[in-house]
Amino acid sequence: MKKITSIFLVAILYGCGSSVSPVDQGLIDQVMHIGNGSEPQGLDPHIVTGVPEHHLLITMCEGLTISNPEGGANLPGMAESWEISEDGKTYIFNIRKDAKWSNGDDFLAEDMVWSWMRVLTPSLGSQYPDMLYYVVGAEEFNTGVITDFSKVGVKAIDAKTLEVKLNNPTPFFLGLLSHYSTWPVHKETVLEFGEIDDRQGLWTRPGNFVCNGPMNLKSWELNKKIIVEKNPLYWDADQVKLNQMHFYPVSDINTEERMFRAGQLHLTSTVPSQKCGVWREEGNPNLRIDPYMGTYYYRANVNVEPLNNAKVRKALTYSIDREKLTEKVTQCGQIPAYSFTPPGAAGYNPDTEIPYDPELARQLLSEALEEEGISGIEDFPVLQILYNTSEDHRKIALTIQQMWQQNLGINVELENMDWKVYLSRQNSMDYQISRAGWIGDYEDPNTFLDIMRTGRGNNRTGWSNQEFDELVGKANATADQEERYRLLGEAEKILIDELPIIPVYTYVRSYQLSPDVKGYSPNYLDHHHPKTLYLERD
Amino acid sequence: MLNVLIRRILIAIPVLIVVASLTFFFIRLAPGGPFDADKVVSPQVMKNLNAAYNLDAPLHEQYFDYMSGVVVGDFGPSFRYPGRSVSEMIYTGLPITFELAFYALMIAVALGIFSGVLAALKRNTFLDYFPMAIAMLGICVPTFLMGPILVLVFGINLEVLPVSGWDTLSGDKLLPSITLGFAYAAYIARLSRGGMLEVLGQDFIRTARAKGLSEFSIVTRHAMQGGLLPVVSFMGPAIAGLLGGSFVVETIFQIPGLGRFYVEAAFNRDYTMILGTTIFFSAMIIFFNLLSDLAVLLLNPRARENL
Repeated sequence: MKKITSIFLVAILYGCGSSVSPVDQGLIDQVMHIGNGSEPQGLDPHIVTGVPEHHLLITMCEGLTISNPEGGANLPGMAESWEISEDGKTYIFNIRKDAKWSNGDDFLAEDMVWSWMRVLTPSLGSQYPDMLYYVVGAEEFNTGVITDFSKVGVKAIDAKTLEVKLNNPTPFFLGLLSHYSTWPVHKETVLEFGEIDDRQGLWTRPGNFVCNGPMNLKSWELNKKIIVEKNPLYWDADQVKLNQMHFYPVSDINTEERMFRAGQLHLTSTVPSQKCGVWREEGNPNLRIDPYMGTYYYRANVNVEPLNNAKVRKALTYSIDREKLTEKVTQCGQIPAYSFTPPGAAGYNPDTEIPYDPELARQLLSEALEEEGISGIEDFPVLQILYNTSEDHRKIALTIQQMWQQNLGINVELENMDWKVYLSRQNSMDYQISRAGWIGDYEDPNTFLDIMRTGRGNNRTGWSNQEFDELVGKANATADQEERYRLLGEAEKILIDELPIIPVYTYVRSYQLSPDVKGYSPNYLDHHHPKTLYLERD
Repeated sequence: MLNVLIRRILIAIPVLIVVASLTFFFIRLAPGGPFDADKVVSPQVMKNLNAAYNLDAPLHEQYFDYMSGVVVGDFGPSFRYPGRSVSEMIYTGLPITFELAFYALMIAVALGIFSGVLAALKRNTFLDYFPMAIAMLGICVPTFLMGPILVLVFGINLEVLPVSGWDTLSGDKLLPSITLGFAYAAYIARLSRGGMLEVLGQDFIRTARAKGLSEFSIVTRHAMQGGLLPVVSFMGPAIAGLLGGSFVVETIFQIPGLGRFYVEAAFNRDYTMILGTTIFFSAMIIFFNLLSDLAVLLLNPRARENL
């Protein structure tokens, strides 16, 4: 028996032990291996939504502008330059003379017009058409009010010049253009495999796929691996140092972590939260924690008692010790949130405060009880916190439950639901307090504050405030950035005074990165353009 | 024998229709739809999406549309993965799940029968206690624990095997096959020990011994034929379990098999994918149970008498 075991082990050792790990081999071949969360829904930028899809698409397609890898204002992409009219409502984009599709076709202004027509075509069912609603007539076309696309404010003046007319001066418009829903698709290829509104077209398959980014699709093995390789026809191909990028849809965080440890990945999509605190203490050199444009918060349903009373919401908000929660519970560098919009992104720093003051909270609660005609704290209704199944959400909910019970003396119950049930309960306003997270689509406070306007689909609190709506509306119509931020700051103050949402912490993006990877800079939107990346061992 | 085959196939058809119909209506009762997302889309966009997938038609119409597609082998498009048909996804994942199940089964059968028969022959000795203790461990330790332990030992500490993948790095099929096979090996060991013990105590074995047959022939020619019948009956459900239950191993080892699609489809409310995989797995379970029943009939004359 012993002999058999040793022969078996020796055979394994000889068979496999000598192979070079993908990370080591990658260094020689300039091939980067990336853990990409889950299997992408697809690769059609007008149809898909989600982070893994974005990581893939940013390598293969390019919009008029690209995100600045260092953070800050967008850089030229397919447009080498642009002029903005004085009223801020007309943009003239000059498309690069040498811009080409990956099949060698010239990239034309007309391609952008057709692509935007596609994303706005109602029957395509794009989930992000509102990114272009700032363009004249775009919303009307997408909702079927008009059917003539020539009435939409985008047109090709000549082969390489694009004119875009906006409803309002929208200072963050250039920022929107690095979102994949606004990116171009190759008309002839799309139409070869279906109609303009065909969601099932096979144009995104390897061999068929044509786009205009630094890499091109080489292979796509479902649930296993997607390989993209350098596109020599890309306008800035000289800058691209990586030869290939391999994306693995690793949905299990622990598997991903083991793959990283075994030298199968250069970069992970996230880290197991239970390990993050330990790694920070031990100083794991591969652990990276970057700022991220997202807020973890609790929604309060303002239509139900007792949460319709702002003082109750304030009492709940003021009795959460955010510093303790981020330090002891989440433990991965999350930043206590005292505003809805993450501070610092795009130079916007909201001037709001949320104290941790149990004394004040108790006082506010007793005032609220009086106002509502509730005789004492023992008659205060039991509050329920709704969250979707996840160990991390559970831990946070437990902590907040305990803080509320201790600081306010109220009863709190937790409701754990499957993701889709949670979404459906939230959408139908069938909850009292609900966990939520919001990640910005572009680097501007508008991507946060706009969702809290009356009637916005993502508001989901029932909260409505006319002054807030007017301030955000006014800010959107203002070209002067300083004045805009002042107006948005005012709006943010109203929000934090009324508290239909209870900010908990600002997200960070935590992941493991091999020291071989160079040019991977932190930025708020987590956009990493492949042309800045390369592999080199110190 | 042929009668049994025909009868069972005729029963299988209504069973599959009932499974498909119940699944069709039950998944629609579950709260949340395929297009519900964290970022709510406008009612107009939701309308567009529902129209694109025929979800705005009356339910009975959707049902008949779907069922008429299934009859000709068209399981419809996946709601979660635009541009992919459910049939294509089953076709992609199935060979991998089959391959994994096959290796696991080989390991399970070889290890299980060997240690089970050995334990029965060396009853109440170390060679009985030791394999049976391991078998008990195999039954008790779930795959989601066994997998990571094997990975930690062979993948990370000894660095001799890849920690994940399928057909990507050399040797990457070994750990998942062992993980999945081990639990079944344990069951088979216990079943074959029990079956063998029962047969070895019977008169015909004593007769064989009295006639001077060698111990090897007694075990292989006489005892095993009857002693392993419980194992043969277990094969049907075991294969079905290996195919449908490979989800955990597929997730731990990052294997692109069908099990992952099956479970993720339920979380995503990917109606067509849930239906397609459910119908498909049901058919597999029926088929393998039928195969194992036929094998029992072939091996066991007493079972044939009851036909």
